[in-house]
Amino acid sequence: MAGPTYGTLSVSDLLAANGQSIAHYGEDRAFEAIQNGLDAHNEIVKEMVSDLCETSMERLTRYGGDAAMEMVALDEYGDPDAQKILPGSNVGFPLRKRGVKIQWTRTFMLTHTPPELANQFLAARDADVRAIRKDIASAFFTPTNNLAYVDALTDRVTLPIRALLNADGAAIPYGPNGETFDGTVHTHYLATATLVAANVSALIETVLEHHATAQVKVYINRAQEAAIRGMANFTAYINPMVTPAYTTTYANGALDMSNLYDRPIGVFDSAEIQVQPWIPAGYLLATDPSAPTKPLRIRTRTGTLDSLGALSIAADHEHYPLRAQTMDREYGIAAMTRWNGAALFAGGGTYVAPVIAG
Amino acid sequence: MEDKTKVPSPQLPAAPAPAPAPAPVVNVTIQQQDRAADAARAMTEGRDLQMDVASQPGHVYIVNGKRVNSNNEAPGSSLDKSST
Repeated sequence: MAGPTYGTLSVSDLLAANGQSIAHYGEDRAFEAIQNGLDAHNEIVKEMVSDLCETSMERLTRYGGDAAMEMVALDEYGDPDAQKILPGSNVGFPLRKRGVKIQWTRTFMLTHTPPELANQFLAARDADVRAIRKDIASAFFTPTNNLAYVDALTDRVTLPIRALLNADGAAIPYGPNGETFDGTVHTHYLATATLVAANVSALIETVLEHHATAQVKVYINRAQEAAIRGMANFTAYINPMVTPAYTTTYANGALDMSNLYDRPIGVFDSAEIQVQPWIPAGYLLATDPSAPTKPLRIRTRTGTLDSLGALSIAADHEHYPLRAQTMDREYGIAAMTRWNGAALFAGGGTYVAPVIAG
Repeated sequence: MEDKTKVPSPQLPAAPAPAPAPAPVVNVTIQQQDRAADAARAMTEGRDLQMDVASQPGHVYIVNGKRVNSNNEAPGSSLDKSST
């Protein structure tokens, strides 16, 4: 009889066990390794979304409002009219459930290897990441409110899900220097038929005018990288393997030469330009991830991305000869800080909501 | 005794009221024609008004091929002021 093998089970153990069937390897060992992989995946997802999203269990908050009064000149008989601060508008957050099922027969367990089973679960974890990326993109790039969202997983209360500032008439707070914004015409969904430097500058200023100390980042699709690189306001990061000429103007940062679809590429005016794979082609997004409040909120039932908010095995059906594993995650993502994001559509004069692939 | 040789001074008409001071010139940057209402308000209130520099005329978006306003309603509702 072989001696004990010490160590923590991981998916790599499964992938290495190529010469035996799942049944022989042991279903309990297989699923213990899969659960450890899920735990690691959930920690990675928390890190991934923390830049742009606040996690909370609150489903309703308020944003905006006209928070200023004005001193009125009086004489000895004068009495000013009563003033009041206009309230902001309600902003709601959805709660949705997304799941995936992997199902197999007993014969599969007897005839297939642990790596083949592990690959199924790796694909399920990838689906989870793509779903979250798609929901984040949808929260940023959808220009319309959904004021009739029914909170079906809780108590069927109707919540107002709002986009970024989109000229819906909601009152907008004053800017840092007393600037005023008309909520009926001020929109953060911009459009241009021809992408030029002035459009990108305007996109950045659309966020900056609400928060003067913002450190704006502009996320672009790789399809727009060449156009951005050709603009006069852009200064590129340099290849770290190359020593530039001392007369070269370059931004302070190293260019990732391998991850072409997910990397910062340089500086435009006051913002860093980052190529991101979840940005639809033809769109640019400006936001300040370092602002006191994140642009989006992820709502979960518990307020964290654990428990029901994590990707977890939800059902373990055993009905000989069929077995199945259902995994799901409960969460909802919507805009929270409505000024902290602006989207530019570079394919026409009117903003067109993108079809977000997932 | 009253001196009747002197011609009384003609009564001059009252001085006209001074013309109202012209409205103060304020620094307003206008990007779109439909910002005129906001600009007029800024000029009468006499303060600088930072306009959104790249807002689109009106606020009509295209979602699933249809023109809608901020609340996903067809244009012509109360919030829609676009002429395009």
